[in-house]
Amino acid sequence: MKENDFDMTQTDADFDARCHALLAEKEVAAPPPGDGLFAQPFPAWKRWGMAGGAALLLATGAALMRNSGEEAASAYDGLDASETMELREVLEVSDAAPSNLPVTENEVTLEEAAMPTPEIVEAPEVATSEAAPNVVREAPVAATASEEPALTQGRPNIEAVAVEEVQIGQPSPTSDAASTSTEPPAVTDPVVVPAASGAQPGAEKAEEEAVPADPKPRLTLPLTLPSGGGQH
Amino acid sequence: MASSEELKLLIEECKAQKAGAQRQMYARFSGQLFATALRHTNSREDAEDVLQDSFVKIFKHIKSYRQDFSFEGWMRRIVVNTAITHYRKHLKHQHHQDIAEIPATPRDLENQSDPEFTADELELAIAQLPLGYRTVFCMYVIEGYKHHEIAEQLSIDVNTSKSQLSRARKYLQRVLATLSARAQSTTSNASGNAGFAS
Repeated sequence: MKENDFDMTQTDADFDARCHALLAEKEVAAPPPGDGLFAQPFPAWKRWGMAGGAALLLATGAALMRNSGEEAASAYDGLDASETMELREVLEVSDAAPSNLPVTENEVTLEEAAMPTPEIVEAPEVATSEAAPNVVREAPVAATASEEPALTQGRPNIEAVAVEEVQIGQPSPTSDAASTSTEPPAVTDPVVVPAASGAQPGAEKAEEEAVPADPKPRLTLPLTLPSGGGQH
Repeated sequence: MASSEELKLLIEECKAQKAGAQRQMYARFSGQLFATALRHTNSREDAEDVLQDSFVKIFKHIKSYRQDFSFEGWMRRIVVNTAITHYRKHLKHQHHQDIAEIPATPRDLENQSDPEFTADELELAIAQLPLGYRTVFCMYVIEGYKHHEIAEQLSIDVNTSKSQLSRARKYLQRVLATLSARAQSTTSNASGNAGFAS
């Protein structure tokens, strides 16, 4: 009976075990390692370059920070205490109520509606950054704006004076009419003029028309000047 | 225990791509892996190429090594796979020699069941095997592969792997028996000559 070649006998198993024991742990003198086999250490010049670059970046950042701080400090140093207070008030108003700039925000949101969140985030930054340089320029405007009630209160007087001047300077047909006719002087009545609150543009127009016609306009100048504009 | 702890540390440092640890790894295992490469190639030059490529793979993929397997076994498998890839790449340039073409050993030496042989003699005998038979024998006997793994790696049938192993084993047993018988006859002749002289 022929033995199957594939069947492993005990003799074969012993032979395999012996071969394994002899060769599994056998070592042979290996050739030296090839070039580039091991991880290349970081070159010293690259290390120094990286360190120098990092130091340069840090120094630049520190200088920028210092310059921005000095600019901010100098902007405050050039102002008086009252201006500083006004400036702070304006800054607080502009910071606290960015909705006071509806046009800017609406433009941004309408034109750049499809833009992602970062654009929307930038909108207050734009408003504040625009507000910051305008603060110095707008400070007097704010001051005049704060004195608008006083102006509006004073305007009826001015207009009254102007009307009176017109009445005085003009040939005054009404005076003639008053002298000739018996109709009440409704046109020249100063009561009509106090439209300063509601019909102010009309009154100013009348004033502007009245001033060139006035032979002595110097009387109106001191009164139209804002009282708080020159307080420094 | 200390060596296993050292090996773990060495592996961790190699995972961190430290050149010093890689050099230590090469110095520690290159001899054993080169012997494996020599068994799976036809020449020393091929074995050197296989060893170099194997260490490149080892250092590249050492992060994927898991501690629950033998590290040496993992490296040797990489060497064997690299040798198989190398063999396939150069297969068209090699002349395929069947084991039947190898000259048979004398009949009177075939029945010696338990020949005595050394590691060098065994290596010499293995080196005479055609590469296909040699690869199957070494993968099964030395590296511990199963037949289905060998068949998968070499893209051959499982029965082909079994038949090649059996024929390689019988050939080696014959060669080693011949070597053992020659050594015994040399020894007996030397002792006979010595007795005759005395």
